[in-house]
Amino acid sequence: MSERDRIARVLPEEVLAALTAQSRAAATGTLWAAGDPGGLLRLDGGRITGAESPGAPGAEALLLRSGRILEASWVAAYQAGAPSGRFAVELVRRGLVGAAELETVCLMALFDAAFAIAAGTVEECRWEPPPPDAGPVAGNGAGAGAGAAVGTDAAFGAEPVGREQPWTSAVTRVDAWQLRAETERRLVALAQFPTPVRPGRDRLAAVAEPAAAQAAVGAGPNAGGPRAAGGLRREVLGLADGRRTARDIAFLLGRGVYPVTVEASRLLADGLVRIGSANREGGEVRALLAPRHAAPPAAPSGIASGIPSGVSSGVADPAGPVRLPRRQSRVSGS
Amino acid sequence: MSQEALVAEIRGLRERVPGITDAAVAAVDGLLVAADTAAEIDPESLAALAAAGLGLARRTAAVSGRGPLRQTVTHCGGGYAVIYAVGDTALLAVLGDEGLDLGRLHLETGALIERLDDLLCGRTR
Repeated sequence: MSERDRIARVLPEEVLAALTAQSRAAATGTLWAAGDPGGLLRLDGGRITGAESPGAPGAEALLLRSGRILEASWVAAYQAGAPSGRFAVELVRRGLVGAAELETVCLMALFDAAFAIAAGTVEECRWEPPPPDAGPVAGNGAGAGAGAAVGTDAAFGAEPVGREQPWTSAVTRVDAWQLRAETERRLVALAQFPTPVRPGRDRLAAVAEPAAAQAAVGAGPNAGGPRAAGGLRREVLGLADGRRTARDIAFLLGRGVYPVTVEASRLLADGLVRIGSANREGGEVRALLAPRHAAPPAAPSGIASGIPSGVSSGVADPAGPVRLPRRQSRVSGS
Repeated sequence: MSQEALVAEIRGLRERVPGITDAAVAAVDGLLVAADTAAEIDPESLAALAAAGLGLARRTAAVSGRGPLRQTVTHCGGGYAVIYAVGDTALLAVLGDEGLDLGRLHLETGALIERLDDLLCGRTR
């Protein structure tokens, strides 16, 4: 496998086949893609109303983590709007986000999730029609019925927002060909890099000393884009600790996984980050039993509990118990 | 008990399930056994709080008569903290971001917890 083949350039075959078939049939339902990270696409009348993946931040994460909307305002709007299925309307009505901005963010989240699914691996696809009692889809305009609202509400309590119709379905929708074109455009753009970063797989570690790296941020041959890109570059570099993937950093920042992956690939090309081998990086792993186990010649390990002798003997400090400061006895007496 | 095996198990969990940011194994008294955490997380505090949380959840399960405890999930604005019991004497704490798929995590941890229990108790397979 050459370096450039690390990233697919097209939608996975199974996904494309199922998506094409269902959108031609103007179907409504959910297309599940099992894989790493996998995800799902929601279709309504053949158009895509949403995409979700553990590999990409959803609209909620983009709006909250980035600090665009405060948690308290979000919860208040949710409580006011969600029971009637008008959460998105409520966000705009309260001036927390502009209507156009909300639509953009939801669209970005949709494309971003599709990108994450396609950039990973897909093992199989499954089509699931809507449950018979699901009611009308929330996005069908003003008539969004109570059935959809119940579904949204129930889902909020138990699941990471929405197994049924999430609030974003009402905000944006795209055609299958648009989704395909945009996703493949992103995959191809990423594949242009000498070593494209795999968003959910490659753990990124900053190479230089933090101070030196900060100084070098502006100096790379690929630097000098718009101001915002410079900021993202700095943020990605600051969070590349050898444990995190581009996906992890995207969630931390509340940014799309695609822009973060592109920035990470750029940093990699500039030699400012490297890809840590999966098993050796992230030196934070600690196992506290080893040193304690080795230090005292194992206190008779017949201690009856199910805990291994290491845990039990770890309780007692090798140098004997630490003496806690005590009050003078006469002080307590008088 | 194999030290490397214990560390490999919790690190492997983070590799397999997208969205896990940190994980730790601790004894139920709150003493940390092994941790795979980012620099911002204090593993000792995590272990202590997880032990307290697990104790509370176990008592709540017993008092409310809902059967044995499966796991305790703290759902936050920006992610999750999930605590699983490992046998009667240890626990596994997992931190994740909003993208963590809880269903997938539960699937992955089923067999893992048995293996951790074996490792901690010095049983070999």
